[in-house]
Amino acid sequence: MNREIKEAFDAIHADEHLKQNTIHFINQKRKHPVSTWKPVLTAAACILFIIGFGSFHVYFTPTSVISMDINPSFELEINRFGKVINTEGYNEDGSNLLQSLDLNYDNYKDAIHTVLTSDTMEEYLENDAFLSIAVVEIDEAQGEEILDYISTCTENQENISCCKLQKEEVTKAHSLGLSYGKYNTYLELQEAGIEITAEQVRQMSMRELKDLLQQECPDNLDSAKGNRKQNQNGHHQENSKNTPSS
Amino acid sequence: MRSEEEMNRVINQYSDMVKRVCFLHLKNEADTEDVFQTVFLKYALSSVCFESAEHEKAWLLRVTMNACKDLIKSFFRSHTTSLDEILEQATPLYEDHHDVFDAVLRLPETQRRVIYLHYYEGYTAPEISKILKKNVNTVYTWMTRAKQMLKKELGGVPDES
Repeated sequence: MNREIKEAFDAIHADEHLKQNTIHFINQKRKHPVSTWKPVLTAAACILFIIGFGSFHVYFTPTSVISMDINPSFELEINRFGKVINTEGYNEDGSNLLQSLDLNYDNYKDAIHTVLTSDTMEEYLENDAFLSIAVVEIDEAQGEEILDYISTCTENQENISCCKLQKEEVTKAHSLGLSYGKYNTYLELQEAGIEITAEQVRQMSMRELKDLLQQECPDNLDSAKGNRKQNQNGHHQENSKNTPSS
Repeated sequence: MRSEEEMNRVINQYSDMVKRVCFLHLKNEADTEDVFQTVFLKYALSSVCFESAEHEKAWLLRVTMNACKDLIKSFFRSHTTSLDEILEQATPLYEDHHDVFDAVLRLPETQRRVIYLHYYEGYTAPEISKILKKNVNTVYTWMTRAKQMLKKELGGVPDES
């Protein structure tokens, strides 16, 4: 039995073809060595790319928009970290002002302070221009925080108003080429039965628009000052804390 | 990577042994060739410094058995052939020892190994326990059971000579 087992296994040989194939196989590997690190590095690169792309996307996604209209009309897009990630001028004066201030990547508080204390803005406000600031909230908590800050900054300014609104309203404003502050006033003028085009609104200053509204609608309580909040029906109403009694 | 000269030496010296171990586990030519190349590639890439020829041989035996086990466990292998189909493929090549191969190949894997290592390669139970990294008593148990099964299949018992 032992002999039979030995003879049986003795009959098994690796033929020359198998040996030569194996030698050739190993020589091929010698010329083109297998890198154990290549798939690891490739996977790591993919992961880093996804993380980088994700981080880029998160950083450059706006969570709030600050719309400012005086005569310069412009908007500041704010990311979740409170940084200004984009600025957009809605008229020539707005674009010029933004270009002169360079607000990108500033914290929104610094950006607002820079705008309000700029020579251009101070000149407008001293000449009784009307500044409308609208905070478009994409992220509710941040929108509230920004509005609180702006309200605090401007509480002693009679010719500045600020309000908070929803993102959907902005889309309509932009479709007419208006920043929200002017779009809001444009709607008010239309509600008051005043025939005016979006193009005309774009060319007028906020003071001119407010005066026109006041002229046509003397009962309008917010002629020059006060904070306004948007109610659920999309109409603006006075915040009685800051408006003069009629 | 080890040199071409060294690889030629090792392949010429141990190719028959590696093929036998492959055949013992895999029982068909295609899988045997795969594992055969894998084993010698592992040798080529290995940085192990062998203390002796016996150390080198034991290393190759262990690597071959592990490579066979890995292939057996793989998805494709588990969804392909049954033992009878494999024997039908294998036995035409070894008609002269058909009965012996049938009997040995029908043993459980662990018993096949000890039969081969003991009765063909000449290893003792303690040496086999080191190669397979198993307790020596376990090796004795496998050997006893293998002999009993071979006796039942072939009507005789492998002698110890």
